[in-house]
Amino acid sequence: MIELKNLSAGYYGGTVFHDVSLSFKQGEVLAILGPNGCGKSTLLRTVLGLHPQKSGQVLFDGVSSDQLTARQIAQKAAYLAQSRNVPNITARRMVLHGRFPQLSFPRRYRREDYDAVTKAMRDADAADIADRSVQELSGGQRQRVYLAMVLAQETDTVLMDEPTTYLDVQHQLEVMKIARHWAKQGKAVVLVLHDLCLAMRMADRVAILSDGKILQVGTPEEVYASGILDAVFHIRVCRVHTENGWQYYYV
Amino acid sequence: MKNWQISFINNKCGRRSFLFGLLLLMLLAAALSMCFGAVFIPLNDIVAVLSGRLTSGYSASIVLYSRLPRTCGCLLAGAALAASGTIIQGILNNPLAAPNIIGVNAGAGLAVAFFGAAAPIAVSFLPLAAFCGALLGVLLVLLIAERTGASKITLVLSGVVVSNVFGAGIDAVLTFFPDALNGYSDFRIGGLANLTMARIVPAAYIIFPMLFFALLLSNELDILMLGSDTAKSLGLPVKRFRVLFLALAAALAGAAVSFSGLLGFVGIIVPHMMRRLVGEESRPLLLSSAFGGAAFLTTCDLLARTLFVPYELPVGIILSFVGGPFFIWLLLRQRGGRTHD
Repeated sequence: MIELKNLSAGYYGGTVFHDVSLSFKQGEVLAILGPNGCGKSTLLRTVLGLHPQKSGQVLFDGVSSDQLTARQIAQKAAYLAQSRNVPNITARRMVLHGRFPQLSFPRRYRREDYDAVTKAMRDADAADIADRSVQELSGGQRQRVYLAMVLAQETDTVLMDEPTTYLDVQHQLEVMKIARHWAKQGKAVVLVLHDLCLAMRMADRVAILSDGKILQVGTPEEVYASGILDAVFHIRVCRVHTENGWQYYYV
Repeated sequence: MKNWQISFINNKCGRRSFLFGLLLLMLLAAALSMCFGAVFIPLNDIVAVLSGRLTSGYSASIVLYSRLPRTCGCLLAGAALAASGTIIQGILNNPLAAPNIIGVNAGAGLAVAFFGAAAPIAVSFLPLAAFCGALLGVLLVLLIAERTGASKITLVLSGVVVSNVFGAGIDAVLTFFPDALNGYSDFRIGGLANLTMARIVPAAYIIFPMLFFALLLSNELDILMLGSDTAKSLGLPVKRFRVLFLALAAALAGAAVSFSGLLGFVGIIVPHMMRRLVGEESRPLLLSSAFGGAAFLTTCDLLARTLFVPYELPVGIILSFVGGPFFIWLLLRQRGGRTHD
């Protein structure tokens, strides 16, 4: 489990987010919502040590992040960045890179690494594209490869920064289903999302970040009841009951 | 567009045979380079000389003191420049980058110009001066980039700035000491004539270990190519490795430039071609670039000295005439071809 305690960070003296306390629990999907520029991405990056923290603490299974090396953190939490390079390598090789934190120096891949990759590609439904160059894949296929790479890292926690952006609805839903599936298997899945309705529908908990502060954390039910989304996004969120549970929309 | 992309990236067996083919090509180029020149020397004479059975005579001295150093120089410089280019393109994630972009050429050039002005007689120290100059150029670029976070953009920008300042330095030296121009212009065009083993051996001591290191760290280079956030999240200290790889690339290019002069194009064209053929997995890419670079430079040098016998063109001219149009063609093709998001 990852715990954020009074975490703050910023750029050049300014603060992006302030005094954030939050926990990423095993077995649940947590969606972080908020308007553009509210610090969602920086929050994820700070948790992983990609961005320096100003004050506060990040605890990985109770151990403070400043006592962990980058490699140890990489063994505990995987990260799907928002912008990614697309090198001309095969999908399988890309997924194999997810094993990097598990390797010690000569960096020779072992049997278990190849097994983990095969399993991850099957789980992310990318087995059929394993031998193709990542460059020639479609957006949705690429996303599956990246998801497999994150999975091959075999961490307890997965942080994803806008994993559904640039994807069509079918692939968006697919990503969310995979996220749910991972949570069910015991991972802590944290998503930064732009799509309110998708988040409200699929997440176990929702955290609302605005102006660098966490305004509320709760189940979609609680968040809906509090009306905080309306205030933060200047919209009116409504919902209807369908056979698949509550569906949210806004006007 | 696709049909040109004969690619071996998803075929381990094909890739192996491709690498083996490149190796053969390199050996063939080397053999031709030993045989042909102003005088033709048959292959069995060359074998006889190299194995020590033939120690005196006309062909023995040509082989030992002219062809052998020249061929070794071509192979080494070609391999080193291409490998250096591969590394730099990888860390900057810019397929158009080359050793000159991080200040290698300008640094070496300034050192050569300066040396030519200050001590025109001590020609044998020129390679050392060029090497030190190349390292100095890169060191400056690194220092600036380091201070500003070693991002890809600051690296390129500081490379441009340092190259410019050093270029002005070269012009200044040449203005005040016009005598230095002779040595400098030879160096700038680049060429492998009049090489001696004594000039190559020190460079070889740098190039081979550096190539070995680069191959050893190829996995880290792969991770670096995924982008800095992803690389960091996989536990790789990005800044440290970027600097380390730049230093590797600088040592490779600097060592090559020290005896070959500025043969920049090898460092762009060869890695670029290999990137398409074998893909961007670093280990096979580095190997094929090194073999391909060696073969390419050796062939160009062979053309340079056999096309207009008895005259000899500087190999830099052949490289640019072959490389320039090829590069333009690549650029034209690239419009809309490659996807970077």
